[in-house]
Amino acid sequence: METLRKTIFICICFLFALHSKSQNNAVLSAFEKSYTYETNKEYAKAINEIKLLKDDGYECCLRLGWLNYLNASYTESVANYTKAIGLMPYSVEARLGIAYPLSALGNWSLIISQYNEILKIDPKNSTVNYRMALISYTNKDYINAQKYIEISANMYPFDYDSAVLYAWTKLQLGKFNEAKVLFTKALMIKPNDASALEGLKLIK
Amino acid sequence: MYKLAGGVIIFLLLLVSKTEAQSTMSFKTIDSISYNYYQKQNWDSLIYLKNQLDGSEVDYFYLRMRFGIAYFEKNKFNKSTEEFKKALEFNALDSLAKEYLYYSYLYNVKEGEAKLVEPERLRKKQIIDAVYVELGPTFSNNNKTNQTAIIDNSQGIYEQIDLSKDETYLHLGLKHQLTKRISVYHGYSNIGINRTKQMLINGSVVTDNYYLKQQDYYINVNWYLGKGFSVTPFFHYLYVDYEKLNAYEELPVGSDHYSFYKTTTTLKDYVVGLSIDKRMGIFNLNLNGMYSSINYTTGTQLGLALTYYPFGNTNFWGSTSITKAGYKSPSFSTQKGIGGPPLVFGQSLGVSLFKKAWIEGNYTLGTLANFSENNAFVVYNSTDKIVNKWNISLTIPINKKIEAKLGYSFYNYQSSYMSCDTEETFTIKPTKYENQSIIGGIKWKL
Repeated sequence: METLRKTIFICICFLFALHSKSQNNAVLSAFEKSYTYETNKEYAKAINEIKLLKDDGYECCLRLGWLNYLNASYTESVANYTKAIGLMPYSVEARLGIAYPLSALGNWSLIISQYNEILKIDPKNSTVNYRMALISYTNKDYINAQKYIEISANMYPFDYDSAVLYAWTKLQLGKFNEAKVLFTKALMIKPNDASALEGLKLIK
Repeated sequence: MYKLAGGVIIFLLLLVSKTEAQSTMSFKTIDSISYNYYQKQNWDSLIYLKNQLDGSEVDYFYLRMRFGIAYFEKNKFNKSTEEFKKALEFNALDSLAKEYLYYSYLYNVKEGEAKLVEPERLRKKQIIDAVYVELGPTFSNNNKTNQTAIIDNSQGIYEQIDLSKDETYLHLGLKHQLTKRISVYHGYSNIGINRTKQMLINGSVVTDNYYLKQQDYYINVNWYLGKGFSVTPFFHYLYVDYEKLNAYEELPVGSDHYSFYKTTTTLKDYVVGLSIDKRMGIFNLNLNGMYSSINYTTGTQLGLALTYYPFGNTNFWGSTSITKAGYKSPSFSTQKGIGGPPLVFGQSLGVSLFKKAWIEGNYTLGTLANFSENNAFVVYNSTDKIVNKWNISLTIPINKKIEAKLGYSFYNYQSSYMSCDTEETFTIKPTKYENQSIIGGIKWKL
């Protein structure tokens, strides 16, 4: 009787392992196919590959979020990213990802709230600090633009985007000497850059 | 041909039932159809699409903007307000949505809400926001109708009538926007009335032509509390000054010898009150109460008014009001021809004409004696009583800053004169007359 029990248990474990392996193979295969379709810009097919898995896990949601964005199905993309964020609340990548479809929909308030969430998780995130600086600058909120761009520019001092935005922010705040130095740095990174030259012209 | 085919496909897509539409129309379909309609300025179709999508999960900034602009272009400002508010929930920083919301409020007569969302570029930092000037004459047939009343109907030993005749009116007002929520309007008025007092003594008439001068100062403070609520305290001060001839019988009583003397009368009257407004969709409910001291009589007034904009814009509107007034002076309410405390009913209708001009008419029924209206901006303090009045006015915007107004008013008055039957008794005899006024005005937004 004992021997029979052991045999049944071993059989169940074996079947479970076999099922898991085939499941894992299906997931890997679906993801691989979806990358191929994505490269070929066949986004609907790529989406279908993932959907066939009928998996509501984080990875599938994140992937569907991205693919739906590429497929211009923005509200579906937002729904997938939202699900992914729900599953992994500390996921910075999902919050960065949702910003793409949200910007396509024009829902900038939701982008800002996602960026603020990211900054709570990762206050020095250079991408988000740069983007927040850009949003603030566009809305003529130069004080906040300076607050964000300072972080990004200090982390990547030789990054053109940060340098030129920092320079324009300083110019708008009337700090002309600092703006001049930053525009000059932007020209070192990107010689003859039109934006930096325009800024310098305004200072002179 | 292709255009026609495209149109048919879109039409068929929209033919599906509301529930079906919600479940089957994907973001891509909704976005492309709405964008197509928006680009072609096909506002009716956009509104139809909006109705089909009611309750749909597809909801985003650009879609709300398209629907909002469609409603705005169709002058449905209540609906456009909702769409732009929703759009701003998606993107609180968008200046175009803010500006559309501002104008949606403004064109829907919601100035309080409009001020709260007024875009920076439209905001002005100035002491005076608008200047108002209005003036005009009032023509009366009182003199023509009643100048022989005391002679024609003479029965007693002494008769006296005081005839109010033509008038002039001038008002200068300023509006100040103190904060986003608080605005002040105040102004000075000058009214001049030609009057004639006739006294029939011993068969001969003694006439005194005199001039009544009235100077007013009016102020109200409008405070927008939010959620459609606003309160307006107001105060109106009236300084009335005139000098007229009086007769007294020399002693002993019955001598039939009269002396004449002039007396100067100065009245320092006022009305103070509070008005509360609540805007609810296409309705505006107003409750107002005031206390007055006019012509030696104190009184209170309580009014309720409902203004409605059935189409969610100012193309057509109406206002119905009912006011109950009461006076503390018993002699006032029991005077012949006045009756008890008056209940006043008012009805206004307005229609928008070409190029944003509009015409407004109103009718008021009820005894207007020591009565105030429009938050006591207008005070009927004449000793003669208005029993009904109607008014029609045309407002034409000259340009973006200047608005001209021309109004015609017709008043039915009831008055009285005194007839002394004996040395000790007198009777009050009623008279009637009509006044017509033409008031022109300019509102200049600075």
